[in-house]
Amino acid sequence: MPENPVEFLRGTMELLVLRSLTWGQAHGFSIARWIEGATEDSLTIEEGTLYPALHRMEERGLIEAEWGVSENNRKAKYYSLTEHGRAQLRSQTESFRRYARAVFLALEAPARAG
Amino acid sequence: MRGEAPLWRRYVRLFGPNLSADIDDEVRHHVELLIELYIARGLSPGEARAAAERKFGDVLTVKSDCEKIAQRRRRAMARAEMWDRLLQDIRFAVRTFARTPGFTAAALLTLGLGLGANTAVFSVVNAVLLRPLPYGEPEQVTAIWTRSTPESGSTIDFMGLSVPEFKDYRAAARSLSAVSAYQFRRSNFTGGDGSPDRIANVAATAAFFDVVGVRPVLGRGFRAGEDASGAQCVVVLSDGMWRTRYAARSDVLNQTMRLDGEVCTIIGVMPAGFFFPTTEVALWRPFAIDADAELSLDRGSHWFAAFGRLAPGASLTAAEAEVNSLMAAWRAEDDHHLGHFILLQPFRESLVGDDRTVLLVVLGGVGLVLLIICANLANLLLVRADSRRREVAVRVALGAGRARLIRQMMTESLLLAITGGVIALLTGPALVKLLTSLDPDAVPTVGGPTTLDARVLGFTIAVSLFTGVLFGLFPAFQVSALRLQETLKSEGRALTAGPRSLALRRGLVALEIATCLAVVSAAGLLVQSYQRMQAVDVGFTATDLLSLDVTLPAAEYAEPARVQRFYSDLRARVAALPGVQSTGLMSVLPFRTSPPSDGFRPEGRPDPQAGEFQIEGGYILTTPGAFDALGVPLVRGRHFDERDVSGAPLVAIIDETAAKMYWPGQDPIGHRIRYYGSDSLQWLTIVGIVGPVNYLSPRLDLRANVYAPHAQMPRQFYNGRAMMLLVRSHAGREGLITAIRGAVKAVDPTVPVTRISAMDDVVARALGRPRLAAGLMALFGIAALIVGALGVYGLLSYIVLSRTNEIGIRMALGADAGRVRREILLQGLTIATVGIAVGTGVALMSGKLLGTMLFGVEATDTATFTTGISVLVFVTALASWLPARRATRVDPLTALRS
Repeated sequence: MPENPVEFLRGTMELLVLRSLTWGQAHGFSIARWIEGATEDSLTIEEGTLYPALHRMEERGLIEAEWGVSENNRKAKYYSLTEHGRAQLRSQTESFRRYARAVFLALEAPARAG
Repeated sequence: MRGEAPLWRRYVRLFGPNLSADIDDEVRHHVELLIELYIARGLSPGEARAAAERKFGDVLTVKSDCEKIAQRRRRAMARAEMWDRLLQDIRFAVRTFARTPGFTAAALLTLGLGLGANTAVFSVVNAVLLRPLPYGEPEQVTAIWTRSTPESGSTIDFMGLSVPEFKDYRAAARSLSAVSAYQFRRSNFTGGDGSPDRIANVAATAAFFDVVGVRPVLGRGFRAGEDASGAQCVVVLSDGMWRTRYAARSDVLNQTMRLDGEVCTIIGVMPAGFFFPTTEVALWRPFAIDADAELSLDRGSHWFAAFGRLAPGASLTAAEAEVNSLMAAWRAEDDHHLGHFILLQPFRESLVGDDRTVLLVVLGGVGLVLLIICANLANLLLVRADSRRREVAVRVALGAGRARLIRQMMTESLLLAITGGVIALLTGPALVKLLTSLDPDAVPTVGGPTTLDARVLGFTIAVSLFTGVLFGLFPAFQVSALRLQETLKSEGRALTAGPRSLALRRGLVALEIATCLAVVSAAGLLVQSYQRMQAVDVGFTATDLLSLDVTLPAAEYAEPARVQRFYSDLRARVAALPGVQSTGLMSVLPFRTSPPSDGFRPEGRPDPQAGEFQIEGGYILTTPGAFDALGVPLVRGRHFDERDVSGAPLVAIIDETAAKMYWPGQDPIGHRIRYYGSDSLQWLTIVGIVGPVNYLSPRLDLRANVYAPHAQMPRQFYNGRAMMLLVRSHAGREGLITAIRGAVKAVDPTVPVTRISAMDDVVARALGRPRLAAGLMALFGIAALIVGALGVYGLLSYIVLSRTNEIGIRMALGADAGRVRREILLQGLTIATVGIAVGTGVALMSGKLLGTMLFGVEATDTATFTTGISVLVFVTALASWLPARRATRVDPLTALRS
């Protein structure tokens, strides 16, 4: 674990959850694992907060849930992307890219002339 | 990987999702996997659990957050489901109605018309009785009247005020923050765009704008002192006047106009929608109550109206008590105040008067008709519900709950009611328009137009829903009380109603008949009252008689000689017109203006003492020819003629009422009378007696009248410049009016001719309200009878139909057709008897409510009630006879086979 993990920016968790589900349905634990791995463990997250986020996204129709049985034969709730969620992921990814680029541009810009 | 949910969970889900268990499961799953992960990384079970809990965060917060979301979702789903069910119910109801188009059309037609009539009547009630008057805090505005009891020498409830009294109240009353005296006038107007006209206006003392609590939108109101005698005339225009005569220009302020020849300056314009006391009034100007020195000191001359604003916190009764205590104090000083009282009346009541009773009675009548329609619809729906018992039973068997069935039935009736309400909102305003165009004088108005505002909308919606519940409740409960097994077993006899439901239906029809009787007898009483009023001998002949106002401007006609010359020239010219039988002028016409009532003294008789009635009568100026034109017979003596001019001995003609009241058993001809005040020096000799004329209303008793020749004008206050021309002629109206206008123009082109009307119309207008009440109630009565008859017919047809089998068997066994017929008829008449018994009680009570609307007929008039009952018996018998006849036409074979 790195020394100074970064806080989640608002709305980022939703984007990462959507992204994590692009490879197929997953339950909360595996979503958390994916985020951990994909971010090289550099984001702090109390994994519990994933669930209100998942349920809210389900309420908004971005993802849908279904009870199933996990690899080690335990019942688990599986989430998968809806069409709406897929579209949301596309547009959010695009706007996040533009946002991040803008911020980097500003941070790395040369000092003001004069 | 994806798998099937365990069986137990599917089972649980039958009872609805168990959301909090789901959340527990999910959270626990996550934590367990974390622990396993940490154990795999080499931590001890205890350490692994601690690490997992750290990694997960606060379990309780997560759970409660998730549960909040879950509850929100559950509620949203429930709402969606409810709407979905409602939509389903509505779709189902629409389909059911579409399957029985005849029933649906009949139901919607009666209900729509019934509700429409209610909307129409209520919109008038709303405009007259409910909509706030356009004044600041309108409930604080009160009319101020004098009431004189017999002790004062006369008995009048709503009398105007005299100048000294008015000043006293103004100075002393603390519970009135402002009072204003006013007088309604018609004045010749010259100014603005357009030709000279005669306009309605109000002269009011300076506090007027404080009392109404509304300021002009343009310019200002009156200032103190502007109502002083001799002050420069200023006027405030109504919005309507400003628009029609000044094209709504903002530079009207300080422009001048002429009112009766006097130059007046425009100082303000009132906001749109403001009216006082009626919308006819085009402008307001200061009222100089002191203009006549003698009049301004006379306590006995009650000659103007007054109104005031209650001080903040003061109630009407408290204010009335206060002014009456002031009156009591003045009584000690001046015996004029003996038997005088002050009456404060909410201003709206003073505008509305007896119209309130008329409107409420009509609203009650139309409400009762709606009740009958509802009872009828309830019956029709009960029959329908019966014929659908198998459908319902099947639905119950398939798992539909009682609540769901009741809701379905209520949805159907509410859907019917709401559609009826929509029809009502479309037809209601049209009905008002229709009525107004049929009889423009009959529909009461106060100020603004009768429109569909929020209150009317609310009323119609509320009444529609109420009726829907009313007639929907019976079938809904009948359906819910359905016994499933019996119904399913009784195949083929699905039509037969249980005894309880039949009793309910009989009860509903009896209710219809009872209500019918109440409406029909109220209609009978009102129609008779109207006929009696029409039949009253008003003392003149209105047919072929045209009347119009010819008022002379004061400035140009200051000289009495000029006034007389104008009118005698005019009379000569009009008399010479082709087709004119007779013509003359009068200062007062029946049902148009009430004659000023003045006390006088017959020669040789002591003045009445305090507490005795004073000798008084209407004072009317006439020219030769007037009595002939009006059709009033000369009883004795002579008419006014060319001898009776200024300078000749003063003469008077009295009517028979005055002769009987004041000269009983004597011949008044040759007797002399004189008036009070400065007129007391003049003696008028009675030269003739004419037939009595009813000037005020056919409903009121005859009052004494004194006529004086216009050429002599024996009294000071009466300048004789506002005369009305009477023309009796068979000639066509249009041509006659043109000819008369020409005659006026030939004498003086600046004099306007206004208020042209046939006296027939004037009389009809005077009876407008009684005619409205009688006409509408008669209409409601007929509607009630038709709907009631349909109710009886429907019920008996149903009974005959459901007994087809039994009757068929009896006929096959040789039963007498007449007997079967009588049996059915008897059923109808039994219901009618119950209805009539109840209805008579209701009708007697509602007759009492008509109260002051009745004229010449008692509220308990036996003949009316007997007729009403006979009509109902006849209608019921007729409505029962058709099904009875059908019963005996039953072919036994078909009956048994079916």
